[in-house]
Amino acid sequence: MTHPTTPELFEFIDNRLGEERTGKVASHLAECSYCRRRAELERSTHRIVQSEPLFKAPERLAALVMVNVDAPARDPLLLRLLGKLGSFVAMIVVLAVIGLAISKVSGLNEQSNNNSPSLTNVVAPLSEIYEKGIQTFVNGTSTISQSIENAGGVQFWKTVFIIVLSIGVLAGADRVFGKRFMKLRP
Amino acid sequence: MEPLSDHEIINRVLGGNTRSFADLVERHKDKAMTLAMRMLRNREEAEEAVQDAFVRAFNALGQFEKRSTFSTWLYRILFNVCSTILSKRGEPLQSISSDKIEEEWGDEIPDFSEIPDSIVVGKEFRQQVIDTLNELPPLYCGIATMFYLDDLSYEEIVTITGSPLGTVKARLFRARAMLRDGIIRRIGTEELAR
Repeated sequence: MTHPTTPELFEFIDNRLGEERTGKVASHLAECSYCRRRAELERSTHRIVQSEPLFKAPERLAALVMVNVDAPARDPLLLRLLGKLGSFVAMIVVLAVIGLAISKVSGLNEQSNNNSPSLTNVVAPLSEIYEKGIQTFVNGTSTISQSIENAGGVQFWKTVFIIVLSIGVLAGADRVFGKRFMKLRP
Repeated sequence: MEPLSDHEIINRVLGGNTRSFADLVERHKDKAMTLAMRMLRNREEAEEAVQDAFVRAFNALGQFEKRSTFSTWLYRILFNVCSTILSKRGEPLQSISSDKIEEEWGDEIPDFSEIPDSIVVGKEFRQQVIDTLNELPPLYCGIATMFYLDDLSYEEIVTITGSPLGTVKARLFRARAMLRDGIIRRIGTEELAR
């Protein structure tokens, strides 16, 4: 038999030759020192590459990967808009509560001492601003509500409005508290 | 206690215990780094490629079919990431078509006349093998690394590279022949210099 070609020898070493060819190449190798050296060089190369120390990945790789994996995905546009709406509503509610508290305090102070230059004088203008703000908000929502009623299907639109507002509040809470209340991403 | 298998860890991750993915990263990061370094030959790029590959693997974990091993699947992702980086560098992976295999090889028998009768597998020879491996073009170096390092079968390399079996064999044999010829040249040169 002539010397096996390079692909034949590689396939022989990899146990990928058919039974018949394997037998022929094995017989040849038993008689040919030249081809035994060819085979030995390939096997030595394999052993050396396999036993070579690996390149070390950074120690922090797992942590870096997990940070990337945990990074919140960008929300869809609609959800981002609802988030902004929710944040706005939450802000109005907070301002309304503060305004209400201030107006209560100012009312009490006015009842107890009308003439004294107390906290009342300081907070009164603020109180007025907040009350006007609340009034504007109430008027605004009434107008929206009126428009919805005029558009027909009152119950339907009211339901849609409540759902959208609820999603907005939740999305806003997501942003404020940094948690995934919505569970909208996997 | 016996460590969890890759597939068991994957089940945990898919079941909601995402932190378990860090165990897979720890287990496979050095082999992945070795493949990336051999293909890219730049530590910074290799680190980025490995990190990117793991993140992609996590995001696509639901699509992982457990017929193959996780490492084969990860190598496939990493191989693609490295290919993209090489293309951006203006060094696209070379390709040879599978039908050229016979044409390329014919009955070629290498010239071993300069090899000493016995190959002494010492420190110097080892270094010559590794130096030659590191000089192979990225595609061939990557394939040779996967084949030698993990004893991957031809079929597993087909899965990783997405190339047909004939092409994979042609590339793998070419890589091994280039490696062999490079080693012979080095040994020959050193022998002649003595």
